[in-house]
Amino acid sequence: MVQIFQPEPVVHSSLGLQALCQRLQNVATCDILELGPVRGGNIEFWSRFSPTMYIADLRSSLPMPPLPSEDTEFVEPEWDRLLGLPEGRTYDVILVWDLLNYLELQVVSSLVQYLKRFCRSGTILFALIFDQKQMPATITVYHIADESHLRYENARSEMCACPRHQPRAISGVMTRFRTSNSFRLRNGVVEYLFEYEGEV
Amino acid sequence: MWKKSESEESHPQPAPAPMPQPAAAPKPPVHQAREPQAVIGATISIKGDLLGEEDLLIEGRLEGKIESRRHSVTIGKNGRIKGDIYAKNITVEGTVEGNLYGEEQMIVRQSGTVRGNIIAPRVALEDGSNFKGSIDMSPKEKTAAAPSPDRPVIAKTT
Repeated sequence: MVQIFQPEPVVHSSLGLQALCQRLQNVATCDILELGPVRGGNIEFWSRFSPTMYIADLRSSLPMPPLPSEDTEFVEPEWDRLLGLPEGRTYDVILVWDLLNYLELQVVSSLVQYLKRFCRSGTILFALIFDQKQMPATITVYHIADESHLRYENARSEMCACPRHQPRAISGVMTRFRTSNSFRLRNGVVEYLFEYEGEV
Repeated sequence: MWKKSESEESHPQPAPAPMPQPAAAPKPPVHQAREPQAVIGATISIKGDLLGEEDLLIEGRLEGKIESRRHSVTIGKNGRIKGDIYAKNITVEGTVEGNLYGEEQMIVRQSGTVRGNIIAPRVALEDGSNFKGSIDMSPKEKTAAAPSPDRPVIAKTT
């Protein structure tokens, strides 16, 4: 049964974002891969780090619903086509936001494997995992309010069942990434900073 | 092919001065403060490069490079461009497939769609705009330097 999402306070604390910004504080420039859609305020926020950003907008490319049913045979997504990332580039930061909640672990694993070629040792992957019974039916768009606050934008207010990916399960598919930071927030969101360790 | 925009044509002319001014201290008429803008209308299609030295508004279709490095280029809501754009300021309200090089700033309006890379020191993308590609806002020194694939990592381990 579809329930109507009651919007929580507009702005949420984000300790993950805060930790990420602290890491970037002393860098001259950085390369950021945004898997979400473009938002002017976010671009403006990141501009302080003199970045090169790549907007992949996977939200608009993914078939909806992105979470396939369990009896469907796994088909490797065409990440090349979906993301369109230029070859030969690597990024310091990958903003995944809440996308992983909408993918089966097998697909998460496939995505992580694909993204590795765009990582360098120390690349940070910022992801939000829902740990609650229900979650917004569509991938959320995040607006950065400031260095430690996010505003959630849900185009539709419907809710759906949450897969509740467990920390061990997530860590299991994030091979060659270590959990650098994780923050469990009161709104049922766990914010992760995964750090790429490079290939051995 | 190009025409003056309506806004320019309808700009009120300054009233004639009642008394002749001394030649030593001429003041430019008010209407010269704004540079004229060339317009490519919605029914125009062009295949080929477009080079200019004035502000430009494109409402039509163009396949090719647009270059007006010291002036502004605006792709209007009906504009469809396949090719790179080089200009001082670039505003996109229509659709562009190509790279955008803004000397000063780059704006993608809510109605705008860009598939390509943006290179400009100041970039504004309105919410609702459609964009896929990279944005390079780094200083020119970095942009000009050859990128090193194995440059040091910026993130520090905690």
